[in-house]
Amino acid sequence: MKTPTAILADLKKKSNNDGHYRVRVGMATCGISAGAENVYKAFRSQIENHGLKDVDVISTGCVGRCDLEPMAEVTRVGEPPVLYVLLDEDKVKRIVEEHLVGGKVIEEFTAR
Amino acid sequence: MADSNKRKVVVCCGTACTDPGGKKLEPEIKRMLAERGAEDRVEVEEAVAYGMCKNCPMVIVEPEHIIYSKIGLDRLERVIDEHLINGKPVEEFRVTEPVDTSNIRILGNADFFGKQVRITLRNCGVIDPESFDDYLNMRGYEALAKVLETMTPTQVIDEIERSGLRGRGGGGYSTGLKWRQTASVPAEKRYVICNADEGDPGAFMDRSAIEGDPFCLIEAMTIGGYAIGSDQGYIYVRAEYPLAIKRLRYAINEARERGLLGSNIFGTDFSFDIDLRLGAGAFVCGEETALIASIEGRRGMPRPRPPYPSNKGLWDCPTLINNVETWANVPAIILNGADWFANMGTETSKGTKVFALAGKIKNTGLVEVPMGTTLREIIYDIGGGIRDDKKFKAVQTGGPSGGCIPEQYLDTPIDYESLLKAGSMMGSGGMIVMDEDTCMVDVAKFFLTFTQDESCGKCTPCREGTKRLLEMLIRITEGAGVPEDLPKLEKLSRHVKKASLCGLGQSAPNPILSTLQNFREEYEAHIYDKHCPAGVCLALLRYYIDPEKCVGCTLCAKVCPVKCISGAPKETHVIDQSLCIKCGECKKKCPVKAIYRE
Repeated sequence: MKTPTAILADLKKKSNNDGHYRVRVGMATCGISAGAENVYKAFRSQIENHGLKDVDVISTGCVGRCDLEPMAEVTRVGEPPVLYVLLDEDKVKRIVEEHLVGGKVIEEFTAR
Repeated sequence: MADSNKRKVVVCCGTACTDPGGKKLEPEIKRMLAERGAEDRVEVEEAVAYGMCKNCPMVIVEPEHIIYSKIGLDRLERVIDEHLINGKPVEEFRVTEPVDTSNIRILGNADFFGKQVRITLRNCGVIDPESFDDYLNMRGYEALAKVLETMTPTQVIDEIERSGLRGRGGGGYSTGLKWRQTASVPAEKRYVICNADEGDPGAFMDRSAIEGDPFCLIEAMTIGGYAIGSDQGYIYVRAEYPLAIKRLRYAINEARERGLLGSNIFGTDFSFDIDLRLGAGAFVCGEETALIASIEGRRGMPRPRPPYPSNKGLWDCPTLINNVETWANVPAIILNGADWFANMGTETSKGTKVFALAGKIKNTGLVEVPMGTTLREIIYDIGGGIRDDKKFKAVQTGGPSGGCIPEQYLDTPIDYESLLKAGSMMGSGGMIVMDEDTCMVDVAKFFLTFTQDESCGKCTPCREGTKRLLEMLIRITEGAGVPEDLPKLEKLSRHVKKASLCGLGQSAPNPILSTLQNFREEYEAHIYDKHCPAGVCLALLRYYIDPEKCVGCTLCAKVCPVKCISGAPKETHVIDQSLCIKCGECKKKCPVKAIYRE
């Protein structure tokens, strides 16, 4: 009889520690009300346009700054995470081009 | 990094942690850099790093992205001299195992997140709520595994009781005690319920918690079922939360598929399942006995207590019913221990509380702070202060059951008892900030409109009392108030509070009593002077053109939607008060500021 801890270990998959970019788009009700669904779709389509193969775009819950939605956080293991706020489709286009492809953070879109 | 010679050091400055190492470190780093003339070559940035506390005090140096652990003042010099200035990392202080730094929030001055301690919201905004793998990677289900493997039901209850956790739905009853009481009633069947009927206007703590981390609630209820000896749970969610419902349904299915819900959980002989029940738009169904009636298929109306649900609840069986936020604390308490939880907060109120910060405030949103944080810190530090830098007037906590706390109580620490003393209550966590442009009589009217509408009608004091209270408030805001209204409002309020069957009626008059206590002069102005000092109550407003200043440009008359302004060009214009709808367009348009609102 396997112990619960052993069963849990079996269920666990390795976490995303593999150098991919991960984009978390805030998709709680606050984010969606502010237009996050279009932002999410924009990320997906821009990433496809640029042919980027291993960027994860996921939806996430509310991180708390409801007045800055739609928000997306871009992370990669080995880099500081970047929180982009007050997004729209045009900003997403630039983020994919300049950050995901070009590797450069767009400071003016962040929460400062 | 624009300049390749420039380095950046990121310091974790969470001020709400038990060891504020980073906060002490940051000024030291700046001082030492200045001493060495290196402040231009090294940028210092504050951040808040969730879950990395074992490395505290922690710094990260960019661009190499090297994480240093335990950098106390003694080790700091070497990091600064050898790495920051001379570019050679200090290998022995490095954290060597791969660390996912995506839980670090860098927000410039970290004011919004710095004072927060996110326990119930630990995964919100971090994981994909529909990813079971994400949940597992954040220590999901470790608590349930620990409970089933190493703890007896009584030990689980002991741990929750020792932690000091109190009900987060507003009642503040000892959670551990409630679990113990429910477990001790002899019965064939017991039930577990989650009250997710979050009905307070402006409150969205529970919604965000469920939308962002549905598995947490499921795991917590499973632990609760084990602790009290139940095999069936219900989550009662208001129908107005479709996204939360969707995510819960998904999570329940996932959990069942993986053997973590349903029969023989984790292969043990413990079985527990959860079903959803949806509300139908009734605020009163947030009251536990009305909620239970609703699940039973009866009309959502409360009944007298005792007996309490822990004795006789759903289908007359002992029932454990807790709020979403209360549940969300359970896995964390099991994993980190009761002492860890009890170390946060005040003497009587342990742990953290989530607030939905709204109203006339710069940073609106969801915040989770340790109990004991003051209202001033939440409003001015985390919330950034009053929007447009206007004057603070009051902060309303506890929703329609609460009161308005004026300026002199801003240093009140958040704590069940302290908020009662300040004339309000904790409630479920709604926090609405009001400024000089808020009319406090209008606020009381707003809340009574809500509670009067939501009153189920079963008991006379609430059904009739809230109606009469509202009628008086409406008359007062329309300029038809009389001096006798004030003692009548007070007397009737106390009767309704005392004699109502359930919490809705018992607390509905609170906004009236609290505003009468702290802002009586506003009521008096409405009644005696027929004047609304905040300029809100339309019936008491008058737009008036100053004949001394008017130049007869006719712009106001042109813009008036009801054409109630008369006057020839170059002659003084006059507003016909009987037609004026008080829209304010004329005042906006006047180029010489001749139009006043009074």
